[in-house]
Amino acid sequence: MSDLTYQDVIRILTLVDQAEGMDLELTMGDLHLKVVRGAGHHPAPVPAAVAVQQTGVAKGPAPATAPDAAPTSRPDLTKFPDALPVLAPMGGMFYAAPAPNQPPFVMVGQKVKQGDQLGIVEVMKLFTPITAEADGEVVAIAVDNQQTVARGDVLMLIAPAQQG
Amino acid sequence: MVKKIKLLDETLRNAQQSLWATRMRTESMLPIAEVIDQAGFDTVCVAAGVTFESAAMFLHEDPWARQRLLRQRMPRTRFDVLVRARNLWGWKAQPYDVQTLFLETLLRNGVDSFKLFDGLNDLRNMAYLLSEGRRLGFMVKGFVGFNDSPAHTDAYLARKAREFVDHGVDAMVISDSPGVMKPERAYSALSAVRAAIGEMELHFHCHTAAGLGRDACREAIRADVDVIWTAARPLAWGSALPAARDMVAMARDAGCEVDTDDAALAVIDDYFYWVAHKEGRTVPPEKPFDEAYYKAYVGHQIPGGMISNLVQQLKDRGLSDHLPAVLEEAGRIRAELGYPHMSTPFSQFVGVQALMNVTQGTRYATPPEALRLYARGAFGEHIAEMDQNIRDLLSQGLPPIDPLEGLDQPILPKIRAEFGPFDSDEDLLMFLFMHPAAYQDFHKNKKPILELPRLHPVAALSQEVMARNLSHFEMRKGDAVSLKLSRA
Repeated sequence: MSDLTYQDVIRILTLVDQAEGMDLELTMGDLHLKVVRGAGHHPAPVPAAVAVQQTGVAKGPAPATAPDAAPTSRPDLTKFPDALPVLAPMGGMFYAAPAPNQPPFVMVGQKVKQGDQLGIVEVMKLFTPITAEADGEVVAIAVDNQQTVARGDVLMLIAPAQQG
Repeated sequence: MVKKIKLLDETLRNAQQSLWATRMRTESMLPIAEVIDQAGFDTVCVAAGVTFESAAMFLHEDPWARQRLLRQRMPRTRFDVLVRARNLWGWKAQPYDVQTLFLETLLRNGVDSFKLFDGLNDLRNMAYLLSEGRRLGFMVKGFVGFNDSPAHTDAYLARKAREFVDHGVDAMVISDSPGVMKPERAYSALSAVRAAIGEMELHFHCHTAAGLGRDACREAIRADVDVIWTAARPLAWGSALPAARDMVAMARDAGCEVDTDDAALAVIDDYFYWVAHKEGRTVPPEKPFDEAYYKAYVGHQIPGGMISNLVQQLKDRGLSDHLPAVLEEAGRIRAELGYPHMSTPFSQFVGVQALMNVTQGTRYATPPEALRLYARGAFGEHIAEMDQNIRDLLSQGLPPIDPLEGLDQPILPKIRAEFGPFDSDEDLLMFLFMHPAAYQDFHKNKKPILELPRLHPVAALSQEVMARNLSHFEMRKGDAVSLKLSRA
């Protein structure tokens, strides 16, 4: 181990930075330290190397929901007073299709049977299927593929099939 | 004969995963690699599944290049990685041809050992990797995960260890990843395992969030463990694992011999203090046993990273006060599911279902598809019997699923044809590690790995001082070091 350790350096820098705006002279055991500030007495700037690295750390993935994630064509749900809403059982990411390059589970106008899959809500990589509770026809889809939804959000409307 | 204790270094893998969200850059590892190589570790762990994804997605680094650079600087020390059974790294079971390609690629990039782990401790999920590992010349370590539960008895752990031995492993690991093994339990569990495996090399790994690690390791050594997993002090304790030098001192106090280079260990500790400082990382204190934490935690044993995710999910819904209810529910679900090991993917099954049960008001109203498959045995044999009612509810009367179904169907030709050509096998595996968009981002953003020298502390101090607005700086330490800097 060298005579001056990194831990010594960290202690010294901590002392220097904590005495911000002040001159400092310190003797402690075998350590002697003297610091005279510049004329401006500006607060210590962050060393450039550190700033660069912190930028690197902060650079995570871009948030999945960019500002342009507004629905492309949000239908008017009040037009279908008799239709049953399909609600998000939990908050998460809505997926309209089973995989990126595949067609959506359902489209507007499509007939569905009870138990048919309508979409997926994903939370923490766990995929919960959304299924039709009754036979009927999809009359409106209220969310886009890969849109973040809250629990209870209306995902789509299904007009129930005529009894008999 | 004096008992020998060896250390397996987890600074670059498990410790930084626990404390630094797996964000340590290769440029922070390389300057100290030669010293780590001289320190006398039995093995240095260099990766697990998350290491690949995190290096590529967040650090924009090629994790394979990291392995090769580390190997160049560390020619003497055995490298290992943690392999998550047939899933290898993530959530999906990988066919046998991918499993073989993964092992061959590890070997080519300098890894010569691996620890083999399955969250259900189901040997069927590991048998292929185990025999392929041996065929390729790896040292293969069987890894049995411990959780505190009525199912994880000493007899269970011993039986599972014995199964690994019968399958031909070279060493055994008992891992208390939730960090809930009390000292007397560590002694009884590891004694039972020792009796079951004979002379074979035995490892003990534990996390230390509850403050049980030091005593658990002491008792594990008393129970004739050979290897303890440790980290450099600045990445040790807290939710990570015991510090290397503390374990060396403890083992020697107990009359054991430890062949580490103590000066090298001190240099490694000192260096990582500097990295932690530059990265703004806190060094956790070593805590004594925290009974309140232990009692609140042991019911659910959800990993710390996942709890913070649950907290965020509840906060987003304005339900922050529901956290205790969610954690209590998680404890119930854990039992109903038959105590799967609380790590990916099972900790997510438990945590997400608990969140849904509490926020929906009806239990298991809309279970995720993966949980239904789990109930039907698609992930392997449950550690304990599932609650019969929950099992029926989840499996919907559908027949059991063979966890090995389809794994013998090669997938690589199809992947090469559909998504190739790839630069290399390493590149193909990166494609499989990540979703397609992340893989494309990785190729676009990949940065070369910087190979920086390890600055002398005096040089580091000068750099830092010069970056501050000082007109005069003077430092003297004893007779040995003196530094004076003045601005004209």
